[in-house]
Amino acid sequence: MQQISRGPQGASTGRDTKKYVSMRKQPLWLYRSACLLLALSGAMMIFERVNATAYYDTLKLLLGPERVEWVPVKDAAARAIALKKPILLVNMVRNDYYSDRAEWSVIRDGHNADIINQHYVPVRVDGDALNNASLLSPIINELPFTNNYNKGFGMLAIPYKLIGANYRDVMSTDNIFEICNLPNDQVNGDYDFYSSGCAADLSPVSKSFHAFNWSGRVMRRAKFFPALYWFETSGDVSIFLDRAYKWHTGKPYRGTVHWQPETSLTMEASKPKLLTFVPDCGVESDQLRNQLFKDEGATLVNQKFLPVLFDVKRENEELKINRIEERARGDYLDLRKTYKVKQLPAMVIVWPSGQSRVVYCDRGIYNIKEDLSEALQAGPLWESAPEGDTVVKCSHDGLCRIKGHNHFSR
Amino acid sequence: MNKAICATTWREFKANKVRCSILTLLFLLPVAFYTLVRLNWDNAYEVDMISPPIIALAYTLLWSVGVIGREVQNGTIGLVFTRPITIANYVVSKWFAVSFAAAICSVQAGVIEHLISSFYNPSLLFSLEFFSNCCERVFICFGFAAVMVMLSSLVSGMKDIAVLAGFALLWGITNMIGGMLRSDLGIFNQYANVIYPLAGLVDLYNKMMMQAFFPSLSIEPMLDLNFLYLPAILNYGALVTACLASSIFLLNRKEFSYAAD
Repeated sequence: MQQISRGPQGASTGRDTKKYVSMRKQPLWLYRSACLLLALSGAMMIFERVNATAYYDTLKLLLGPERVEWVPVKDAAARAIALKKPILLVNMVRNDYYSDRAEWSVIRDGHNADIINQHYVPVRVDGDALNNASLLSPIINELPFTNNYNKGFGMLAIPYKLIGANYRDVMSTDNIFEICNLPNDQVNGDYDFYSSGCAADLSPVSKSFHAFNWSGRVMRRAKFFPALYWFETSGDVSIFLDRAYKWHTGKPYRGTVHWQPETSLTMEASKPKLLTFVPDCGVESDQLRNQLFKDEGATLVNQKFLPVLFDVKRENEELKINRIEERARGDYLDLRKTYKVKQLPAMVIVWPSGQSRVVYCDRGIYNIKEDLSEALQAGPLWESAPEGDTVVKCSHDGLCRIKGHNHFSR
Repeated sequence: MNKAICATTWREFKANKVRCSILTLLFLLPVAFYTLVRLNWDNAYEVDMISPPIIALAYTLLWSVGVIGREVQNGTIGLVFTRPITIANYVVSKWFAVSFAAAICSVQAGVIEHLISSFYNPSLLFSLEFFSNCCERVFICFGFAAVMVMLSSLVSGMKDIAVLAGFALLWGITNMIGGMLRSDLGIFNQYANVIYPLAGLVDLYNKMMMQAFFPSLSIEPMLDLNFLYLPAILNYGALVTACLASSIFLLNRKEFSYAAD
């Protein structure tokens, strides 16, 4: 055990100095460590301040090569359409907590990088929204995380068939219900949904639905599906990438309606047929499926109609050239022409007599059940009088008889 | 490190009724606040209601105010050094005693808040957020205690809190100046060449002050093995060693009489 003398400034007290340590003995190793660490820390701080790009490039030398194969924004749409893969739009801004974590470790993580390269066409935006004039511009310019006032980390999966669509469409597609219908143990509840229809199914397992990090680090909304705004671990990002991919490759929601095969169009039936033309993705499709394909809507359709569903492939001017074959299979143009369907989504009621009436969501999708019931009561109706026909007589409720036809038009 | 000095520091705190009362309040106030939130917010049970890690600053402040200065003021430090102990050992023991006690208290408070949340929603029990919150509290306690030990060896009595308040005020003013320099310069636009580099210097100073008074390290990036946070770890290490070294250096330059002032 060390014996310590009490002499001022370590002065000898006459005892063997080898055994005694002065009270004022200076811990030189601590001074040296402090000086070294201070110098290093100060140098790095000044280096970052003077030349930030060189500073981050130097630090990146420690990381090794980038594993994600980023695609330039201008090439992304064409590549996604050609490969039929969703685009993964990643926004990373320097000095943002989640962006830094994502850029420096999470996205470089081997597992995440493999998922991204295998299933997505990855695109970096880096907060530079307005300069990216491409098919993705309508989406990029609406993104909350590229907004000048809210720049930060964000990841958004865009299905290739929604390229050219707007942000609202991307954030709300009907496949979401397929995910919701998974058993609870397969649903990691860290997701928030644009569509209210899914919330009820997920809330029992969702720990952060409408939640924010209470410890004050992040006060943003938790996560919109298919967008990821924050994460705790690298595993959260893996789950997001996996779910977003599954979501975008799943089949559109068909609900609890007893859909008949397309061949039933030619069969005779006692009930009127309901030909439902719905786009296979997009916000209107999502809302209609949410309103009509389950609960009361499904009961109404099952009781009153013989329903046939036509999942119409989304029309997109930019994609026409690339999708001629696909469109021929999935747009039902002839059928839509026969029944004079002008816009989607639309429902055609075909009575056993062969007469028909088209019902659109003119009063909003939330009134579609009432619209269908009223249309069924009102009977067959032309949407408009054919050109050159003469109106013969109009009734008090606005229905007019047209010369040469037994039908009425409004 | 000397166990006797640690034990004395803790015993001294226990004997101080004012500090014990404030410590009790620090435990109870967040619990009471979150209870009120639970009563008035429907989604409260879905969230882990733990105070932010910055609360650890309050615990550290409570434990470390005048930790060395008071002994210098009332002369007991002279008596301490009648024992076979070096100043370095004394400073490190004091630092460890206050930071360890503050860390225990703040983590304990966090655990209580977390257990209440978990009682209502058991799925929150093993959340990473809670783990990282506790770790950050520990880092803050050990980092800020080093700053307080340094200030306490600089002045006698409890004047260290006044020095701290002075620095905080200065920091507030420089932050304000930094904000003004970065905003639209208006009629001073012609001097932008001079003003913008000045704003950079003020920012650098503010960053250093931030590191000094809020020495925190995030856990999640460390779990990611993120090299970007290497400078943050370096800064933290530099702060703790520099504060302890300067504290030892300052005390070595002092004569310990029976009453300093």
